[in-house]
Amino acid sequence: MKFPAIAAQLEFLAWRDAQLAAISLQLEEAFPALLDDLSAQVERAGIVDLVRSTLPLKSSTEAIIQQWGAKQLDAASSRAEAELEDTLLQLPGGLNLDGDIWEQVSKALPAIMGVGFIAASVAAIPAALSFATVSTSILFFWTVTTISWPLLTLGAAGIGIATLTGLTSVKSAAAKARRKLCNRAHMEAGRQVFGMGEKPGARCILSDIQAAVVKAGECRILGVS
Amino acid sequence: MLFLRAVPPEVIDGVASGLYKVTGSVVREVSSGRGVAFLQETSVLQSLLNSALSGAGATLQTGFSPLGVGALIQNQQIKSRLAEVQSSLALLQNLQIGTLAVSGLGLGVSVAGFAMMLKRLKGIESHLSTIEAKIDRVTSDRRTDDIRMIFADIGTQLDSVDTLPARSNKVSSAEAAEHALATASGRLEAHFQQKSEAMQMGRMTSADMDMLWSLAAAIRLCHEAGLRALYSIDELEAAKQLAERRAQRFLDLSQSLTPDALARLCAQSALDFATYTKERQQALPQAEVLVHGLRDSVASISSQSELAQNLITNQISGSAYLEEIADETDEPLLILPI
Repeated sequence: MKFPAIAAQLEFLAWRDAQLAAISLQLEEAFPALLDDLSAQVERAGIVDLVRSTLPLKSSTEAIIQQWGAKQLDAASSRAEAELEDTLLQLPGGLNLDGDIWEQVSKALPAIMGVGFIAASVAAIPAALSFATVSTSILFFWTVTTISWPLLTLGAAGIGIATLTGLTSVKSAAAKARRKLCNRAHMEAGRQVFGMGEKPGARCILSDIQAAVVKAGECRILGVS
Repeated sequence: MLFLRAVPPEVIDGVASGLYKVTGSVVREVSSGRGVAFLQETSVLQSLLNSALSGAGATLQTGFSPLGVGALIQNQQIKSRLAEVQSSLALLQNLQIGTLAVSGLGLGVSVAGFAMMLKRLKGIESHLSTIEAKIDRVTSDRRTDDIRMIFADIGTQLDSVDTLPARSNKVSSAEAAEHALATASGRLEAHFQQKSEAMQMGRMTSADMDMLWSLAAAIRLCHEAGLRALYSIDELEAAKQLAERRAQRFLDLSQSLTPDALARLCAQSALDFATYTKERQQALPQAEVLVHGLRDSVASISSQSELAQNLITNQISGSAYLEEIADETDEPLLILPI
C-alpha cells in the first residue's frame, strides 16, 4: 500500500483513538454530577414515596441517567465532528488523495473503525449514521425488567414496620432506606454508564457513545470521496 | 559521502518550527505532505543511545520494561540528553524510548551489527521471561515455549545476515535468511494476534500489554534484519515490496487496539467508580505507549518502502547505500535529500 494511504489510515486511527479516550475521560468527569443528581432525587423523596411509591422513584432515576447520557452523547458527537474536520484538512495534500489511494483507504476504513471491545455497541448502531442524525435512540439502557430494586422494597417494608413503633424509628428507618437507595442508584449508574459488574464488551452508555461517534466518523469520511 | 549528507540546520529548524514533521524516517512539509529528505541512522547513534540509556539507569538486557512507568519518565530524559549531545537528534522528539531500546530507531535501514541485534533479541527474550512469570499466575498462558524456539531461529538468521558481506554465496544466503526471518515473523504475528484477541475477551493486566510489546519488537527486529539482507544483495524492488506489505501487516495488527479499550479492560473488574477510574487511568499511559509504538512502526516501515523506491529512481544500489552508512563515524543521523 502506498504511503499516502497508510498515512491517511494512521490519521484516522489517531482520530478514533483520541475520541475514544476523550469520551472515557468526559464521562468520568461528568459522572460525579450524575451521582449527585441521583442522590438529590432520593433525598427529595418523601416518606410516602419511600413507603408506597417505588415505581416513580425508579422511573425518575432512569430518566436522570438517560438525560445525562443524551447530554454526554451530544458533547462527544460535537467534539468528534469538529476534530474529524481538522483531521481531514490535515491529511497530506488535504483531501486531494487520488482515486487509487482513496479506494485503498475506503476499503480499509471499516476495519480501522472496528474496535473489538465495543463491537456489541457498534453492531447495534445503524449502518448509515451521521453526526447530524446521532440521537439518543441509539443509546442502550438496561430496561426496567432487568433492574432489581430489592433494597427499595426492603426499605419501604422497614419503614412500614417502623411507623407502628414511633416517629423516631420512622425517621431512622427512612434515613437508612435513603442511604441504601442512594447506594443502589449509584451502583446502577455505574453499571449503565461504564458496564461495571458486566462482562467485558457488554453494552453500556460509554461504549454506545463511542460506537456512535466512530460510526458517524466512518460515514463522514466515506462521504468525503 | 556520495548520496548522504549531514542533517542541515534548516531541516532541524523546520521541524522545530512546525514547517516540517518527521513521519517514519521521512521529513515532510506539513502543508503539502511532500517529502523533503529521508533520515538515516548510523552506528554513531547507537553508541550515543547506549550511553544515554546506561546513564539513565536502564539497560537493554536486565529488566528493561518499555511500558513501565520508569521508562515513561526516562523517555523524555533520554531524548533531552541525546538532543544536548547532538542538535540533529532533536528530530527524535516524537519517538518512544521503548522503540529505541528494543527494536532500533527504524530510521532508514538498520545498521546495527550482529552483536547489537542479538543483544536486542536477548533483551526481548529476557523481558518475556519476566512477563511470563506474571502472566502464568493470571492466565496460565504457556505459549512461550514456542516463542523461545522462534527466537532461537531468529538468532541464527541474524548471524547469517551479519556475515553476508564475507560470504561467497551472498545472494542465496541472503534470500534464505530473509525467508526464514519472514517465517519467524509470521509465527510471531500469529502469537500477537492470538494474545491480542484473548486480551479483549476478559480482564487484562499491564503484563499482557508488555507481552504484546515484546512480540511486536521481535517482529520488527525480523523485518529490519530481513530488509538489510535484501539491501546487501541489491534487491531494492523486493525490499520496497516487503516494506509495503510489512507496514500493512503492522497496521492490521495494531488497528483493533486502542489505548482506551486496553485501559478499560485493565479496570473491568472494578465494582465502584473510584476504583474503576484509578485503575483505568493507571493503565492508560502504558496502553498509549504500546499502541503509539505500533503505529510508529507502521509509519517507519512504510517510509522504508519510499526509501527503496527513491534509491531505485536515483540508481543507487542497496549495497553502496549500506557501505556509505557504515563509513560514517561522526554523525549519528544523515539525510538523503529527496
